[in-house]
Amino acid sequence: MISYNNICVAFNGPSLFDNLSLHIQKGEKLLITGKSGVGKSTLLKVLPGFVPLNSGTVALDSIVLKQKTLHSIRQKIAYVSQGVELFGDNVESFIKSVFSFKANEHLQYNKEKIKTLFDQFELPQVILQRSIDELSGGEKQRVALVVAVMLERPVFLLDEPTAALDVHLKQKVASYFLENPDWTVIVISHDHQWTKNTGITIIELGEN
Amino acid sequence: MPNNELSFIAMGLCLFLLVLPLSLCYVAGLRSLITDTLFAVVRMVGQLLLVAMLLKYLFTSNNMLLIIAWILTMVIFASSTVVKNCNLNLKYLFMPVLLSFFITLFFLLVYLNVFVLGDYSFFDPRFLIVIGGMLLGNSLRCTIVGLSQFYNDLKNSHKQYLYTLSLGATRIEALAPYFRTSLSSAIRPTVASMASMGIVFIPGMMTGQILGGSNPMLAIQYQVMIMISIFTVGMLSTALGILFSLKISFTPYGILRDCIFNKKD
Repeated sequence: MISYNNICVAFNGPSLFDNLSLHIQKGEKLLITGKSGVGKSTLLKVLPGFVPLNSGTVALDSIVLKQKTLHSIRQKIAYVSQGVELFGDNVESFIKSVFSFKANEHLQYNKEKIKTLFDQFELPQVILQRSIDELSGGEKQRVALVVAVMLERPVFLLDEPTAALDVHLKQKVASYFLENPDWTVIVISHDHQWTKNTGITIIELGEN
Repeated sequence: MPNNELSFIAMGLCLFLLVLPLSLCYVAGLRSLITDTLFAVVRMVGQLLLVAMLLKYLFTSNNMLLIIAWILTMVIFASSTVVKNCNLNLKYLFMPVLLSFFITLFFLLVYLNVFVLGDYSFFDPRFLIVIGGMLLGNSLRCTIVGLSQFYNDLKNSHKQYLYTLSLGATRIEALAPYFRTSLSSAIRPTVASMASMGIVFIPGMMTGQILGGSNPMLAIQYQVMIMISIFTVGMLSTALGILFSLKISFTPYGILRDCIFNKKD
């Protein structure tokens, strides 16, 4: 379903990846680990076209990432970056603005669903009215995860999504994403809660 | 009005006023500001003298080619000033800014000439150079503020911009908040100056006109015309400058190119 084919990425220096290939099946769960600076986040950013490739290709559902296919590929991916930066005046306006994008017009701003997901990730409802600046790192991460789920996309790219959460929440979030058989999840994390689940493939970058 | 012309002694006494602010700079330890100010004053006097001589020549000669060349020089100089002041790479941003200045200036000059000031011929240097210069000078300020704000905000919150794209936003949807903020920052000083005009301050052009012997009513009419034109040209040149630069400043994948910023930044 997701293919990285002989990709090379370099930023004004030695290559970060040299002919790296990776194939991930639909519904597969993949944990990427590795030392700092080996390119874990870059590997995720390549798929939605946020980092240019020096050579090679990436594809999702056999559609190769190009300028023409960019928007449709991005619409299949829910991406939560490390230290995610939400926008808008408060959480509710942030969520509403996400739903106002043309690409998300087919989705409803569903208050019930928000409530269910907020409960799932242990976020109090009052947070909806809270200013983005007042949220803690963990709250921002969970709001971003709620939005990612609400977008109903089949692929999740999660970059340290549980870094700012306590042990109990780390476990809850990891289980939530790993237990859904329909979702393809690529996660970068140093939290062992992700490895507790069987059925997750672990790849250590920087190791051949 | 006793005498409309200022003598050399009067001009000298006017320049003598600089002693006060420069002494303040000296006491405050702002040595570099003293040098910068003196350099700026010398440049200003020299440039204005040169302009006065050239204008005098242009007003009498009515040489159309020379007038067009003068306008072109102003626009080219303004464009490079904008790009340099925004700390952006001249190689990439010069043409979009130049194009935005050309279009807005041409539109405003034709509009003013045809619909507002019917009694000037388009190539009359008193119209083309004087009004053109004033409009260009003001749109320069707006474009510098707008363009810097747009690209610096984007650079500083690039992560947020990428996140917005990942949430399904098109490039235009993701850039809209940055566009709104930069346009607003660029034009707010003009709006504030329009609102306070006449009460808080008397604008330079009007002061010059009245001191030069014009009827205050006539000076006001021209001032209103100029302010509306400055507002329009400032808004349009900033918006077009940003819009025209988008194609060059982003990769086909919608990612901001690093090369559009000057390396030293």
